[in-house]
Amino acid sequence: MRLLIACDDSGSIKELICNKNTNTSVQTAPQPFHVGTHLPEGFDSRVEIIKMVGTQQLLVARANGSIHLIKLKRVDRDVSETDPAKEPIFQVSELHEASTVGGLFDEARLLSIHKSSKKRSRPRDGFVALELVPQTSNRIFSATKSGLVHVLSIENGELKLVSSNSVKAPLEFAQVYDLAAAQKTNSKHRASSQLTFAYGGEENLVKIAHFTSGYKTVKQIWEAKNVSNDRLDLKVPVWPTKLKFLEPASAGADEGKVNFQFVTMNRLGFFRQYRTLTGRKPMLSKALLPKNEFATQLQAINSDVTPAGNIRSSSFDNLQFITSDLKKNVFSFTAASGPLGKYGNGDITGYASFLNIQKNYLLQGGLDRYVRVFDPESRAMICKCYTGSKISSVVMVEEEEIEVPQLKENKKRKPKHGDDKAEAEEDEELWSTLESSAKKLKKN
Amino acid sequence: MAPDELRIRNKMKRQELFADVKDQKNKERHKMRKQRAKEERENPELKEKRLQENVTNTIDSLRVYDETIHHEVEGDEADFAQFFNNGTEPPKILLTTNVNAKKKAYEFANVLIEILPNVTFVKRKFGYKLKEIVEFCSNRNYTDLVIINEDKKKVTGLTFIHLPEGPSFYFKISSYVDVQKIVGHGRATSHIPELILNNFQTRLGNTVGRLFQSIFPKNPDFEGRQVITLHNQRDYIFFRRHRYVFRNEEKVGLQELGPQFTMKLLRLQHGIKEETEWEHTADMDKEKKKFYL
Repeated sequence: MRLLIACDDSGSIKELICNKNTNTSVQTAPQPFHVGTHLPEGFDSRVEIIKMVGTQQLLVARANGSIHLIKLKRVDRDVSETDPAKEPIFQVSELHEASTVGGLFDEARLLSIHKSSKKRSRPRDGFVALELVPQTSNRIFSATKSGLVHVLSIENGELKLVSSNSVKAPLEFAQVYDLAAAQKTNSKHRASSQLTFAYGGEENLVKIAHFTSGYKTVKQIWEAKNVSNDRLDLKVPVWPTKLKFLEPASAGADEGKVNFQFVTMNRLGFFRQYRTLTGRKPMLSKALLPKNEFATQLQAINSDVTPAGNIRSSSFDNLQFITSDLKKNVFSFTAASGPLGKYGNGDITGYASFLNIQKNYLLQGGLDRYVRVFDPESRAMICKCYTGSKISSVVMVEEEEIEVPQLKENKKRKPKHGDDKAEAEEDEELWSTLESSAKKLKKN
Repeated sequence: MAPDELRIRNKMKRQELFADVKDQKNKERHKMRKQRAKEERENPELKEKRLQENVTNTIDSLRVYDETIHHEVEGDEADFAQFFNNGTEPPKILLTTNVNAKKKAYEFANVLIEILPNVTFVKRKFGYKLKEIVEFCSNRNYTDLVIINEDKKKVTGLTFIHLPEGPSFYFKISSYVDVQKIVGHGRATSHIPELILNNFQTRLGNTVGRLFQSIFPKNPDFEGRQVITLHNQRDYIFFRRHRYVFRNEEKVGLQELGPQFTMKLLRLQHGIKEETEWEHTADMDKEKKKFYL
């Protein structure tokens, strides 16, 4: 498989080529075939999000407030120094920067909010979303923690800023709604080609908004309501961290009404289900984590998902998700039964800042500097590689295995028939001596 | 001894026999060693060869393979700049305790004031959150915040928070030996000490080593001849302070200044105690030969 990894420490993108069962922590296990470092720009310009656009282009959001369009080119690997017959054959990628748009951050907005925030560290602006606008191939949606939402376009291989709008900050997520294609086919629903997205963050309730008049303005169409006060009549903190849309409910749909269904993960470990037709409060709010532990991710694993991670199902039942906390746990859960089991079997030692399902594999990377690939259903680890750097994003480009040439020396020789006989005799001898010594012991 | 020969039913006789055999073996061994020493005195190459061949297996030498040990540290310069605040400021440390600290914590603070350079001790007051303390420190150009954790009248931990943006380290403190209890101890002077960091090998170990590097100024006063050693062995970090004395042109003596204590990294967090980068858990102790620093 071929992975592209955003490495924080050097601000680079690494290409990792390996097969299944690769494990760099075990010397005897298969090791990665190739680790190539591309476009290092330092920690301050580290890559926060990587997105593939087609097979030849890459969108990269960096922590200095710029979005880059990068061209991928495959070249044959240089095997001139080694024996080509013994080496696996594969191509490596070359990354070339094609175009850049910068200045997409506004840190001043975050600084004013920071005083009331529960986060202790000085806030730094960063990207929370980078997606292709659904049903287009050249429009890009991006959102920042400071509440700026940008639409960019790719024209003749160049990135251009189409519009910049602001919504209420701070943002923890901005989730694009890309289930509209399915919605369109259903005549009951409003045919929506608009770019709709949901956002929210610390003390910023989940809101749904869409772009109007050709991406020029953003109009909020729905806002959630906080859950009721707790049993001490205290306000429950608002802090959604991730949101995934489901297909809208068909029963009882009214054309004029906003019709969305979605699930959210709350920083305090609450999993919530919303149906906008039923009301602004969640239909279900379930605590998953013990007190004082924070949840950060949300991914559906047993359902078909769209490129943006939304769920192609209109029913909340039987959905299985994965999430991670701020410590080191990555676990799957269902709304009905709660946590099901952990990934990694204690192998993950740092916060998993990246979790995503791509091509039916769960990709995990984080502060412990390892990239891991899991089977989402069985929770078995497929691959583990040390990257030398904290990871903030991973993309699986290819899942195909690379053929390793079988060397003649490696093939096991078949044991000869004569050897079997000798072995049997040896065994006999051993047994007889053991039996005699056992008798002696009994006597004693 | 084979089981057949052990048919002596009298216990005392049996013990006598065993002692005889043991004594005989000891004598043989001593004789062999004496002989070997004699041979090796005449031919020192033999000793070298023997020492090369017979290397003792220790838990340290049998440690579980860790791929991060000889891996190049990525983004070393950025990491360096982060810890040394771009090399522009000398370290300036604020030392405080946990809320409602007892006498032991203040006594330990007195010891740390002598050890840490450019340190200010501030008594911890009620009602200030960590976020506010960090802000206070950052505004006054402090580079590190050190918090002594005391529990049930014992100093149990030390928290190091690098300012302004972390990371945060939490160490367990054990085996504290007071200066007065060290026989033949010297008196420390206010010279900036030299620093010896031993055996920090893995990527995590490098980060911990870098923390200590950044805490002590880079320009030691050599005339003070004081050395602080932080020796890592099996993830325990031993703190020792010595003064070296040149006895003559060949011999160097050491005088311990104290105190002695042992630290163990329990947690490393990103930022000001936010996302966990590494945390010690009880099941890590199951594997005796796996070390993390």
